[in-house]
Amino acid sequence: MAVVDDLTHPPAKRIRRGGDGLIAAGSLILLIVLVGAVAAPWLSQWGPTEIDPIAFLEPPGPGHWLGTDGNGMDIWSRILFAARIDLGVAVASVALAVLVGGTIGLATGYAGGWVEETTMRLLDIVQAFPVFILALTVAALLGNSLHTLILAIGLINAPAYARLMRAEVRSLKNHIYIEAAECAGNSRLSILFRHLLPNALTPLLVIAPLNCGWAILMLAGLSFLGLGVSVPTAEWGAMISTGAADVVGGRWWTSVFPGLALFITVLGFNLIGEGLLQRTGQRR
Amino acid sequence: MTGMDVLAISDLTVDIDGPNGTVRALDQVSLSVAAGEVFGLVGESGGGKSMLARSIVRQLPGRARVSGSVRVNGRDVFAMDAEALRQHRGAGAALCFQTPRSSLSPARTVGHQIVDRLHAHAGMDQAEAWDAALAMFKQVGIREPERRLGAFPHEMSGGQCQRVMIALALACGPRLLLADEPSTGLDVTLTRDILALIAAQAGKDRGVIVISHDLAAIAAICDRIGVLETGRLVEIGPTDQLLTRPTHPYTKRLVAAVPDINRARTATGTPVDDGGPLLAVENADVVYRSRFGRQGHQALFDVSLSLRKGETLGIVGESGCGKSTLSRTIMGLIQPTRGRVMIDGIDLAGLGRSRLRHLRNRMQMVFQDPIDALNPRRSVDQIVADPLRLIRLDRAEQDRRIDAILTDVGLGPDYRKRRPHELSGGQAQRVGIARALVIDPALVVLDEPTSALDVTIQAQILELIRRLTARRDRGYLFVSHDLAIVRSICDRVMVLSEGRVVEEGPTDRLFEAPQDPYTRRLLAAVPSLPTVSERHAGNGG
Repeated sequence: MAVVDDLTHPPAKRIRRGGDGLIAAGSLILLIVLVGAVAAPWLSQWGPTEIDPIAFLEPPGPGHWLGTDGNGMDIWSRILFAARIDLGVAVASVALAVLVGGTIGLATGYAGGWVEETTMRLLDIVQAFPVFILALTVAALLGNSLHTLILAIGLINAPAYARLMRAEVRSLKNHIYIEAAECAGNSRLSILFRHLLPNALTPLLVIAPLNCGWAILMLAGLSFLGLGVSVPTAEWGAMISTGAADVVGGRWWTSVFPGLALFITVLGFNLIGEGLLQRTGQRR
Repeated sequence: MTGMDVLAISDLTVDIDGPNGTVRALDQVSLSVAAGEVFGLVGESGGGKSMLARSIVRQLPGRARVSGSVRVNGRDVFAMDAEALRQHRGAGAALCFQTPRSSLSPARTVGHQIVDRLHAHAGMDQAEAWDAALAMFKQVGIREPERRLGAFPHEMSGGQCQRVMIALALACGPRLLLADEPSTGLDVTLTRDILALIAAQAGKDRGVIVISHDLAAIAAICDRIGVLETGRLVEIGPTDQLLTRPTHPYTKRLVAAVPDINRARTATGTPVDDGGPLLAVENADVVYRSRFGRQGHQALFDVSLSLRKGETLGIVGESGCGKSTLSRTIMGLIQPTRGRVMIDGIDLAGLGRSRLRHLRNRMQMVFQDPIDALNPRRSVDQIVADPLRLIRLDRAEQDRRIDAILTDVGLGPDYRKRRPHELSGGQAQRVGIARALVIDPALVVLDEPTSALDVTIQAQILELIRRLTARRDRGYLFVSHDLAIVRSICDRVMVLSEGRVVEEGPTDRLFEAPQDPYTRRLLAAVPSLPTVSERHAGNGG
């Protein structure tokens, strides 16, 4: 007689590492956005800053699929070309944040002592500012070229990665294999990069996609307030911003379509991020 | 002397459904334990010992499928409803968990925890329960029981926590006391006391089961012993008979693997004397400084030693005596606060970081926890090659060396591409030894290299170490808490207690005529099989 014990434990849960579906869905969305960005010139018959002199604020129709804005520019085309800037800035700024923050966290976590304490308190100060205000200030000070936007968004994000990396390194460096590496004659650099970094990197890479979604929102937000990408360059936040005035007059397509593009892209990043968190067991 | 059966297990089979299919944790196990009896259950990790204990208190993991029956006091444990099961767990069978400190709630005093249990199970009011708790604490030999009732688990030593755990288990007067690895993490002297206490709980209506991987430790207290191998009870019998005339091959291996303190060193030859000592530690003090530079804990007091090429020096002592601090100081991982460490006459303290690094091809270390000593992201050949980067060999020469050393430690080149998680504890330790030897160091520090391994694996690794030390081509420092092992390997032995050297001398002299009272106490506490069978013979079985 077989007894399945059910008095001591709740019914057995399926033990499956979830998240695969989320990652697949997110990847599919981002793939579509990416194809749109790369193939933008072939997917629309208008250029992103090309003005159709006879079509101002034209509603969606056969000539302009998603309509035109107040300058007579084709919205579908602008959305596609904007994806290049938005994806590019997001990925570049997060890469910068991982690089800078990761290096700071790796070095200070391993060094310990007053180096670590001082650095962490400095990062505390940076993190104590509201992120968006800080980004506004940096963008306003450095001007609003794409490079400075990447720099601003990336650096603002770096302390979070520094913290994550430092926490990871602090727990890893107590493992005996780190002591063993020292006994084997590894230099400090070699211990950092051969032995600590490969083991400490996973949590950072898991957070990165979530962060890309956040970076796009940040860029769009800055542009919306006029401190990011400026007209006529195509960028979703700037498009929403310029369209906002027209929406009041009933020309909804000027803002809604770039908003949808923004929403779908951020959703894609977040699905991947969430899926990765589940896969690595950091969230159920 | 023994009464009716308090436990009767028949044809117990437990299957656990896991992600990689079903694992048979127990396979048709049948045994019985009578009142007044102390039953020992031995076997190596993964053998099913803990699963058997958990079956008796019916605390199996979620996806367990059970067939057969477990009867405690005549009642089928797997037929009980929730209330009967609750009663059973207090008054039927009580389990002392393997790690007492983490099995006690850190947020409540130990007194409260035992009173809670008496309150819930025996229905006592508060005053009665506190009186009973005090009586229990006295019974299990807790010093200053009144004061200890108000202590939190983290304020007590491992041995004291184990006593609290036993008191908790005994609180509701169980018919069966189960102790799962009660000596884990305890020193020899403490182990002996705790096991004696557990054995003393067998009475006219109580049976005791002691579970352990350490046959020698529990043999002294058990009336009968059962041997579990991969879920099957391969042999069961009176202790004396099992130790002297084991029938099953696995039991024979277990018995043979027990290090025997009366076994003298097998290594022959004498240390090669070629001038100055390979390693010299002179009057070393080590003080761990606490944060913000306040005076910290002093781990070593005025320790001196020297080691010549070809010699094996044993360093023994109980946990916390400073053994690990000493080996890490010798490896230059810790700076001595006073005194010095010299390798080939070179003072480590005078070296810069870079020159110390290059001196590391003269000295290597093997660590206690074999798995954690290997970087999980690197393959075996990368791990073994790590020290070789100090001497820059060409690719072919490096490969040849790695293959040769892997073969020498009994693994062979097939293991090159494996990762640490694909290795067993014994294999991981062989990789650790290969990493230490690949650069051909003059000095090897072996820090408790076998204490994390099962007995039969331990015997194999010790055989390897014996083979290596017998070559007399290096100096070995063998750090261990296990005196029997030290005796079979070392030329000289140094006894450490609370950071001080209490005695040092040639192995045979030290074991046969110990001078210091501490050494004598340590030696007296070591269990060994022949004395066990003598005891049983003396008691008439």
